[in-house]
Amino acid sequence: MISSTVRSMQNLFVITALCVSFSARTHAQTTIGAAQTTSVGPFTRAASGFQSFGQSFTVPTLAPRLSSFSLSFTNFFNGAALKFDAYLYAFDAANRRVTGSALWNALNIVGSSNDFGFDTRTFAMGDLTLSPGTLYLFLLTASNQSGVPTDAANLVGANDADAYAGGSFWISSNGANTAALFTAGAFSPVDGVSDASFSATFLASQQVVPEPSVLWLSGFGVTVLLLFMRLRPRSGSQK
Amino acid sequence: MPMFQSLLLRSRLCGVAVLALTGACSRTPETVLSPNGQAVSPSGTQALAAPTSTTRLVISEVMADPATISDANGEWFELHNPGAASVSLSGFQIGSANDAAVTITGAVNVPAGGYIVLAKNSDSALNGGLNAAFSFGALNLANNATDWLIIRDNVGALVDSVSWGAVPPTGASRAKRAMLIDCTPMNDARAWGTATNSYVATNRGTPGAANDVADYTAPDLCGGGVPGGPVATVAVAPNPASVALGATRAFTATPRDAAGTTVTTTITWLSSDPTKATIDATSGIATGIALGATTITATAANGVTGTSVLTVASAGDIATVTVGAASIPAGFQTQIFGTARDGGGAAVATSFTWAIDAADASRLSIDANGVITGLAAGTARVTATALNGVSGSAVITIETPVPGNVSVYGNAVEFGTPTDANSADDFIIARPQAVVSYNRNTGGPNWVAYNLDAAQFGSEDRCNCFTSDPAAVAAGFPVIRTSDYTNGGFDRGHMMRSADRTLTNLENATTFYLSNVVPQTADLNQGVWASQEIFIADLARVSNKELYIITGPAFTGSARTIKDEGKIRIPDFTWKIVIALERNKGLADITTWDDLAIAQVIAVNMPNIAGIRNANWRDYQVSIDSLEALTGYDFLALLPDAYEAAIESGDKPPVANLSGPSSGVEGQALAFNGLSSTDPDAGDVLSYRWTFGDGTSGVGASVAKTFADNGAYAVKLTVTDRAGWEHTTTQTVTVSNAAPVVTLASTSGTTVSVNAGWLAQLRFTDAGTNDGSWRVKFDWGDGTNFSTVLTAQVSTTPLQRGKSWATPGAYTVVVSVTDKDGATTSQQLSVTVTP
Repeated sequence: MISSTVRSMQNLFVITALCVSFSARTHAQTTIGAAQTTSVGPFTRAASGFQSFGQSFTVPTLAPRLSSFSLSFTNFFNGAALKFDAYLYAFDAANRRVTGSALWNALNIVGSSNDFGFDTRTFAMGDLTLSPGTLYLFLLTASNQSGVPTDAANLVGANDADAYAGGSFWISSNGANTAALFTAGAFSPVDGVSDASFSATFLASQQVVPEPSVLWLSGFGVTVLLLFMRLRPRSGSQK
Repeated sequence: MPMFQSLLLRSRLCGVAVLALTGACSRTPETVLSPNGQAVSPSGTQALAAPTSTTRLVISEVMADPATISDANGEWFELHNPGAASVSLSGFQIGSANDAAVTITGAVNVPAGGYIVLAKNSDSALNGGLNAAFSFGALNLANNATDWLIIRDNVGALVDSVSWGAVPPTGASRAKRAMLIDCTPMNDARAWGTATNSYVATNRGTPGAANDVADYTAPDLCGGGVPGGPVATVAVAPNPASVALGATRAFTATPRDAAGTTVTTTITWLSSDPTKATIDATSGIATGIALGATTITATAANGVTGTSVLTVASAGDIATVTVGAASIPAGFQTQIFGTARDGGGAAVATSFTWAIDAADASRLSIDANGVITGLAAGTARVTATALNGVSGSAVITIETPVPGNVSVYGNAVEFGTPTDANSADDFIIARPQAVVSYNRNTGGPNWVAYNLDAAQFGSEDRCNCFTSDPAAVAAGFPVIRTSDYTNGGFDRGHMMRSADRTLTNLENATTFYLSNVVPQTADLNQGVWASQEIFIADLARVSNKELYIITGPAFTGSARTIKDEGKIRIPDFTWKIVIALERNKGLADITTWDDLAIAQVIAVNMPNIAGIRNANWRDYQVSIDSLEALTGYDFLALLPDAYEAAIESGDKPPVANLSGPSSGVEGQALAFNGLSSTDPDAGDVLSYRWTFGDGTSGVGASVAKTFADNGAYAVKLTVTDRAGWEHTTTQTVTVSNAAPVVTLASTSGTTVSVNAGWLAQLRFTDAGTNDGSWRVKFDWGDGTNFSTVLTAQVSTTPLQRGKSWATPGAYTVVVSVTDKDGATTSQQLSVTVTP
């Protein structure tokens, strides 16, 4: 499952790169992400776990429109399914707290019950324009899911290498008190985990008009790529 | 080699025989056998001392620098026994500068009236043919101007010593002259000469025999003291003198040479008017013949004279007036006194009219009581005239006032200016040397505050210049003069001690402002108060403390004043508060209770009565609170209130003692207690506060603490006494890490089919509750694994992880849990996968 996720992300990167090359004239999109190397948890309402997880990220300068955000989950306890809410807030990393009003949310999300692997959840924002260069937190919290059994918990796919320089993974043991997330020091890092394994898709803020030389180089690159694909030996025909 | 050409007499002062060129009789020896028997440091200066032994022996000849023969072989000295019995030297010690002492052993005797030689090398084949009675071996007679030689008897008493203040001659001994050799101690350097006859080729001397140096020809040199130069002055005493009719008055004359040395001469006495008084020309005894005056002249043999005026008067009539001299800085005052005596020399009560020479009026003024005020530097003649017209005079020296470096004085009111309910009688006079609250109604201070440390001590003598404080005078207050104290029955008691301001004459004089003075009984001022002052000053001067002192009088009884004049009130007590800190520390350095505990606080209150001269000042220690109650003043107001309350009550700091382990394991309950903490104040009940270095705290004499994580923690115990005084002690506790405790189970049994699900269930706990995050790894035994990081322990509902195997076989599932400190615990299960 991990390798398939990585493969998917590699494909996504290639597609994204092609989109940058070919679609920049109408709209541009940027993807940021980090490969899943482990997981972190428990993310739960139980006393032994943590109620709120978050991944901070920095909005690209030329692509400030957040289109979607993806995370992966796996079951932790052998219990009922976890339910949680997702939010987007501006993040004050110096004081380890969220600020302002929620810029987006999705409520009553059902977590993974998969004991054998990870399920990816993609949260579509559509076209959420953010402030370029600013730090935000994609927040998951079970604080308001009072009806969920305490043994409902998920692990979140994570990356324990410093793969993403624009943000990091945060947890908060705030119980049912979401207001506490606004106080200084509300969030803590996790020893050994730098980032969640996540994927965020951004759109460009305005149409990009490539230089003629860029168009020429792009056309040349596509031509070479097509020739390469056409000339490459096919393993199936060799059997 | 040059002879001792410039030998100067100085040994009389030293009490030993000294050969010297110049300089005082001080030495720089580096030997343990010093002339006064004390060990001396290499850099010290040691005066030679007078002989103390009952044995009479004389170092009579010294050869320090033989020619052609090496010093190692040819040095020697000679001892002479002027007595009538032989002297054994067994156990005697000889010493020289920079050399270890040598003890004489064996049968070494100095015959009566005889001489023996002690040589560095006793081998006559090498030492120039000397017949040495003893070899002093390692001891050296140096060829420089600073060496010396001494001999002590067998109980350590000094027998004789000699130092040479000039380079000794080469090839000749220095020898005592024959007629002076028995004059032990003979301190005249001229008693020594350089030997003339050779005892061996190239070396002169008379080792073991009478010396051959020329004798001294001045008479009575041995018994009469030191011959001096020509008489230069003759002083006659008494001068002036008086004598009653028919009575006698003995005069003495002291002739001195130009160097001031008293010399021997013949004095002839003469009266200028024998009709008034005659004088015996030889004895100097005058006889009153008729009322009047005559001049008595003493004439030395060389014609130098000295005189005295002798007045012949009837008994009871003033014959002479003398005036005490004085020296004061300009701007300051003192009172001088005249003494009238009758013809019989008895003091006669009288009053004086005071005058200053007209030419000196710009430098000094004087009032009717003899209080002089220095106006400008120089000298001035003051004359006191008795009622019968007899007068006497003295020359007063008015010194240039020299300011000291006042930057050495700290803030006199560092801990706050004392205040009371009535500020109307507090006239603050602030000077660098001290701050005074002057009370116009008592004619003295309410209090005097000043700073004191070792840098403020100099060598200036007290000026005894009790002076009206110009600040009080300028304010229009009744003027207090030193004469207001005279014959009042009380000492002029300094509040700020005179000896605490000795950098310059001006610094010292400021302590003599009468705003710094209160009437104290002699027993108080010179006795118990003075002993307390010395103790306090030594805290600064010797113990290098920084002192802040507040002192003053207290009035409790009826308003007594000096001589009942209503000007200067007599206090019933004098008190003092001293805060002693480390050098250069002040109020700003007291920020904690521990800072305060370092401060030494002394408060005394002493009755202003007679009979306590020899009392122990410590018996008069009181609390500052009691002084505040006595005086009405609030002291030390700038201290934080809690600190002020504690030290003013006299409370002593508690001492926190912590008992408990210095190591443990996270999750383990550790017991600590402070039961051995103490407090010197009887009845003080201590309270206990703890901090454990991990953000947690506790209270109580005994506590238990469980550390949630490994690490080094500073466990602090703070004890607080009844007055709020705190003391803290700290113990470092090293807490080691505990590995997680892991349980691995499965709900799927130990056998599972290919591609069927198998569930592993993990629980773990960790005594280090702060040891998260925990890294968990499931190794499925087929080369695959699942890892996660857990932010909380899993102790009840297990972490469940599923696995299926595609290939039949036996697999070992291993789960490991690693805490953040790297401690790992693993558990495993065996699973058989069937087709």
